[in-house]
Amino acid sequence: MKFAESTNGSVLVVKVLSSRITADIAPSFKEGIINYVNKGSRKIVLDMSEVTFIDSSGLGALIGCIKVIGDDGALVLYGARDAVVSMFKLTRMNKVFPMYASQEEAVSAVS
Amino acid sequence: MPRLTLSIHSDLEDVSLLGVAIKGLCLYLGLGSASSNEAELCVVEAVTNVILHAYNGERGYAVDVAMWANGDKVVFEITDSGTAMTSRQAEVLMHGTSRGESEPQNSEPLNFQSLNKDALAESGRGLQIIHDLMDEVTYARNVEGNCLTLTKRIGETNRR
Repeated sequence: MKFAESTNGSVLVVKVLSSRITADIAPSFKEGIINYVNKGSRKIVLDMSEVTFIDSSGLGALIGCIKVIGDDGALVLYGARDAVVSMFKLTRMNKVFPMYASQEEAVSAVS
Repeated sequence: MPRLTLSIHSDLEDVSLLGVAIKGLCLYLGLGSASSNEAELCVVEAVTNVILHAYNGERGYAVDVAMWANGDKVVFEITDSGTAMTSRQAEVLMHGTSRGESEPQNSEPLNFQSLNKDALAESGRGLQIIHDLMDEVTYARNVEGNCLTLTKRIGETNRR
């Protein structure tokens, strides 16, 4: 699972470089995000603009990540495409993962 | 009627190839973009479920997906020779679940701000997703194994 990371103030911005988050890569996706948390990043903005498909396993991996981050941190998304947004709305996970149109909005929300 | 069968081995790494093919075929058959995305998602969820549960994650077993268009609908038939679904899993597939976090028919807004995130399940949504997105779902167990049939209607403007 490949990511590209950058910082924006106190927020870590992580771009997901895979076009699909599915059962075969969900464990490595979760491990990768948790590695950032273990290194001290508790406010994470995920750039989902390259992701065209996510299944329930990918969703489960994201849920596993917010459990590790806990209530004193944040994991929010931006740039999600229609199919990904639809998946979050269908499962009502858009209520768990705030989704924004731009990186600026996402970073501002968690800063 | 034209009918196509795609077959993969029970390897999660092969499921995306299948999903991409299914979506392309759905677009060709006139399902439209949103419904084709939904059909891809449902087939991916169903095949992943077969690999993880019917075959217990073991590689080397066949998972077949036959699909055909029949008038105003596209039908997907997913077959495997693994373990049968439990009665609870079959119930969720065909009738849905009352679990609040994944119950989109519930008009009451959920207050996730006060929700204990540790209580959120990391798995178990796939069958509910299939139930919610497909127009018809049937599951049968026979001597050859499991047969899951999913039907998605083609909108009038998209019919070929």
